[in-house]
Amino acid sequence: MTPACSSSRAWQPGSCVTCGNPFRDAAHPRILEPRLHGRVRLCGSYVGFFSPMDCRAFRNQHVAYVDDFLPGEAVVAMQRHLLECERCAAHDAKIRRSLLLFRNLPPVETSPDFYSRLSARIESERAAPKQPMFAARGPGIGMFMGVAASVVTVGYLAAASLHWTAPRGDVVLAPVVATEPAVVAPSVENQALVASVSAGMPVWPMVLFAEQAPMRFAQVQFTRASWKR
Amino acid sequence: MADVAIKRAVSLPGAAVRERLRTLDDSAVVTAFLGGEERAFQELVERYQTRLLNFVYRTIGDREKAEDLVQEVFIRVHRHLHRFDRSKKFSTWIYTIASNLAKNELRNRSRNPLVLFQTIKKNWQDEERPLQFEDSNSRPDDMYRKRHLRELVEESVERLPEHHKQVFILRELEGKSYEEIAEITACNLGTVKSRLNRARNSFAEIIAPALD
Repeated sequence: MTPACSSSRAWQPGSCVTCGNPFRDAAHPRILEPRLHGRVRLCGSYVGFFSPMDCRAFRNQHVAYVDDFLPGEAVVAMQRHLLECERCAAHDAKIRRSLLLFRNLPPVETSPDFYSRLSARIESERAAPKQPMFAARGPGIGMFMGVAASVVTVGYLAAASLHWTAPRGDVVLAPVVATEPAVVAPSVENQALVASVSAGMPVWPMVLFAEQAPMRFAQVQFTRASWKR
Repeated sequence: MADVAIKRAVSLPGAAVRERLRTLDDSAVVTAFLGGEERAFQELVERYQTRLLNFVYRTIGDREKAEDLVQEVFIRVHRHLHRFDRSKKFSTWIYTIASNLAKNELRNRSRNPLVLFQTIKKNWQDEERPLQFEDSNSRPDDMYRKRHLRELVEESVERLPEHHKQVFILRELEGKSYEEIAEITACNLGTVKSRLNRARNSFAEIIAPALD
């Protein structure tokens, strides 16, 4: 949709594009841009810039606006927004004012003997013998690789001389004759001791013996009882 | 065309050579230097010494150190000019060297408190120095106001973050294009615009109370 033109007057060169007042009017200081002459018109195909601009869009484009990098239509939209929004107008004035101060800082000059000192340094650099690359730049990757390789080589040689690198053979034992060990019958005292230690009780109740102790031990207990009798 | 001008410059002696070199663009002067014309280097120094000094000085805030760094820039240029890619702009290359040296200086300074002390001491000595009247027609109060304003602006620039400061100085003082700044600072174009916007806003915010 094409917004309606706010003015019915035809645009005249040398006049403000929004209100038609002549340029150099004190009330419209921001529309004095000479580049607008003959390029921007109110009516016809240039009505697109009448779409309202919000403050965020204005701030986003402000760098390019200050540096004069915006196309003509966008410049007019920015100028229109400046007329409508006091806050953005104050922001624009603040930025431009501070930049003006910075750009007008007096330049710093080099000292009179700048070039002679520079020439002397260049001459002394020429006269100095060229040092090898590793000395001039410090240890580089090549040097590091060389040192690492030599350390590995020395380590390998040392290990080889001490037979650290020889493969380990299997442990060989002298052959022995295996014999089946004689089965020793458990003594009654030993078994009783084991049973009492594991249970934490000096005397096992007979019921526990019957349920938990191995059958052989139970048999020994019964045998012992019969002896006492 | 440029080759003809360079050959002429090389074949002429003394002052005539300097005059001829002055008419050449940077690329042609570099070519002349690589062709054996030593005076071409002097021409490059004359073209860039003040611009680089201002750039480095505004970045690091120390006049003497800035001059030392600019000397270092030219020594590196002299040493490595044969490696310069002549399809690119010489000014971008030399500003990149200066920018890197200034960044290194700021980094070293943040690690070494002694340098900070020396800077403070130098500024204090400046304060103790009597006013120097550059123009005998100026009134003392005008001189004082101007000097105060200059110091205010310099202090405000000092307070900007390093990466904002460089973009700000390259744009506002040196007039570099966004593309050149992107190349010098090794950033993309969007970052340059964003940093420039923030730097301008910060600078205006810092200096505004002093101006009101």
